[in-house]
Amino acid sequence: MLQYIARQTVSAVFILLVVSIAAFSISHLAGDPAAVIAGENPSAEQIEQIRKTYGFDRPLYQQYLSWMGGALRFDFGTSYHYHQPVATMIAERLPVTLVLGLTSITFALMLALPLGVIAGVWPNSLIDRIALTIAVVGQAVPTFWLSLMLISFLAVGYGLLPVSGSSSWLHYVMPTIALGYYALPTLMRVTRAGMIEVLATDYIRAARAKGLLETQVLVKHALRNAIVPVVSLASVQFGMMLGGSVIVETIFAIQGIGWLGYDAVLRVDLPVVQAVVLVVAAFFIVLTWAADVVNAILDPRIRLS
Amino acid sequence: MAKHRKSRRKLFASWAATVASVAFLATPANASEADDTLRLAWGGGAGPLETANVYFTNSRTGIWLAMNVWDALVYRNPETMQYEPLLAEGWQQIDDLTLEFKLRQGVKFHNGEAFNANDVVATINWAVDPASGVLKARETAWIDRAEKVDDNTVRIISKKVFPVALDYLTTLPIYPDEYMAAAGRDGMAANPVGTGPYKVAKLDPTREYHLQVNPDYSWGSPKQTPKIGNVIIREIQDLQTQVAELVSGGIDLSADIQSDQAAQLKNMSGLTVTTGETMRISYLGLDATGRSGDKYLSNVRQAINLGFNREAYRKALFGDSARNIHVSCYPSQFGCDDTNAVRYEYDPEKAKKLLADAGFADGIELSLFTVPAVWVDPMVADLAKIGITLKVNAMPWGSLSPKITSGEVPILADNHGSYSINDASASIGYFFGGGPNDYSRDAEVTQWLAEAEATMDPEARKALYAKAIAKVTSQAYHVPMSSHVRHYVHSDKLAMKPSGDEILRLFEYSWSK
Repeated sequence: MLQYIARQTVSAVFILLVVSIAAFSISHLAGDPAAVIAGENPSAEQIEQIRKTYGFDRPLYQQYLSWMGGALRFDFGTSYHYHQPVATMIAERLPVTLVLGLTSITFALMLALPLGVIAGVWPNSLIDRIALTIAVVGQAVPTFWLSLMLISFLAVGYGLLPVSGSSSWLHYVMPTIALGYYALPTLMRVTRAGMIEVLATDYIRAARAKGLLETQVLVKHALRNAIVPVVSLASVQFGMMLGGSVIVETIFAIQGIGWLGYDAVLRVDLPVVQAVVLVVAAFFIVLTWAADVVNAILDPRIRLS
Repeated sequence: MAKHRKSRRKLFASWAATVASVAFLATPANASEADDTLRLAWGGGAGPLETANVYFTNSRTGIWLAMNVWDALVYRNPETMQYEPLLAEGWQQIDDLTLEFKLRQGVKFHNGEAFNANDVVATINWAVDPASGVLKARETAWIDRAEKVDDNTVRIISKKVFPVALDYLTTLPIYPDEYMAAAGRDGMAANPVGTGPYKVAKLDPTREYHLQVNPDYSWGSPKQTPKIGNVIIREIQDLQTQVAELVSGGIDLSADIQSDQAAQLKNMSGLTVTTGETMRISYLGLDATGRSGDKYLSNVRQAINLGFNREAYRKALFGDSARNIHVSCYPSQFGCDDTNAVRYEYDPEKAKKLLADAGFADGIELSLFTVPAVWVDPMVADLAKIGITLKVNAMPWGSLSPKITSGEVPILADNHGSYSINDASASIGYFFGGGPNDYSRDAEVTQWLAEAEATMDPEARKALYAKAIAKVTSQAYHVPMSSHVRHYVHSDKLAMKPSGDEILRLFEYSWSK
């Protein structure tokens, strides 16, 4: 098991290194950062001065090494636009996104797992059709449209919830539904497919033949095996929520890390873009690593493959 | 691209219609009046104010915050556009380079610190020092230094003759010297302190600002003592969310709403739309020197001017509160007199003939650059009728700005608010004074504009601007389009009036009877 964890850790570090090089290089292709910092109406001398002050006149590899050195100490430099340490900005916004991501993935799992299990136990039944309809609608409805509809009816029409902001738990209800519903269909489909496959195996037939209660068969034997791919998928979905919640965060005026990245791209605020990409990628990689470890615990065959 | 924008606008418009129809189920709560708290949203489209230390931002919301929390030496009356004493009770021009200000006595900062000459000298000298890193270089570039004469008298010495000094001084808030020394740049951002009609009670950077009336604001400021006790400002970037907040009563005011949505909200019970013309103007900048690499543009500038139906454009986008402009400046600005301007009335046939004479009878394709917020569809459609195909490149300002600076942009569609400076130096000077936004690079015009900024004689300045205007319009260096309007969508319990400089003067607002 330790060998397996070590192997996965080395692989994760290598991927993070590649992501950091890509984030640094790609963001430098977005334009001349010195001209962006200079704002409107700068002189050529001002731009040259900024280039020297910020070290943009150094070779790119030197700039990368000094940036990466800082990043390892959680020092991502200073935002060109907000003139604040990027690490502080990320620290302020990450909790909002983490809360939103956690509530959303919990919401998605709370619906997807029971629906997927029921649909898998009674395939092609009415309940299966209803579950599939939910999945199809969830995949077809764009998040921004669902967000706007939730605002229209729950906030504007009936005044049940606040339209936007993040100052109370009520503010998280609609963003959670909007973001969670996006992840729900895939989780439900994978659970359903896993249940159908597992329920057709010999050891489930043997468990039933032994006279175990149906709930024991379903939860202890079937679901435990069917859930292995769901764990991986949920961790990937959670990672995607951290970086991909920009639309929901913008519509509901929740200024989390997704919004921060989007805002930074529009303003060519390179230190923020680089830091957001790196932090989100790091979360994604850690989540994937954790899912691999959990799966290895759930299914020992994985460690040996 | 244009098709994509159009479909997105349609989508948003249909959503706004849905909101409006659902909203009949609800009436704005208007709880704000009961607790004497005005709730407003800003930052729509543009994003949040980067810092509450207003010397480190060029955002319009920074100007709004500064107007309500701080005072400058001089105040520009938004109706008369005349200068009135604010923290200075009077001033005189000692010589061409020196302005002397007598300061008001009995004024206190929000932290109790007494206002005196030390505050003015410290603020101005700090702001002009490049080491301070403030982002007000445009506003302070003319100042050499400030000197204290006595506790109630200061002198501001210019580097050069600068006829617009008073206007620029209206934009420079005075900070408390002792607090500034102790708190530093970050401290002032975290806990801003001014002398203005409102004080900052609480702030959550880039999210929310809570203002409270300054109880000591009774020293006869031309800004009035606020009539509303509390203000909560929220940063809401998404315009549709702002609309939903207005309709549900979550906010009482937004000054960011676009014309199409304002038209729909106008009919909603509980909401009022107040529209006012602003100094902001739309224009096309045309590369007249070939810096962008476009070889043909210089031959077709007049055709573009004649082929654009500015009357239809203005009506469609801004309505009757705006006006057509024939030169790229705002009519209230000193020196912005279009009497000598060459006017290009809409004449597609003449435009086609000019194109044919230039060798483009079969049409020509040109590249236009803009930010996505600028609506260029009518321009594209108009010019297509005379045979000019505009290839639209819409990109965020951060990507567009370096292209403008390096001269890569053949046609720029943009708008310009003159930084609320009521002088043609901030518009004609900005466009044709030889800076990065000068697409004409006309040495004669640049010289006239330099002279206009180097004399204190108002008549001589007017004459120089008139000459410059005649030349830039006869050469069709720009396509002046229209003035803009700003829509203030607010609770009908709120009484407010707009101003041409687009600044929210919250201290003038009141709850209507």
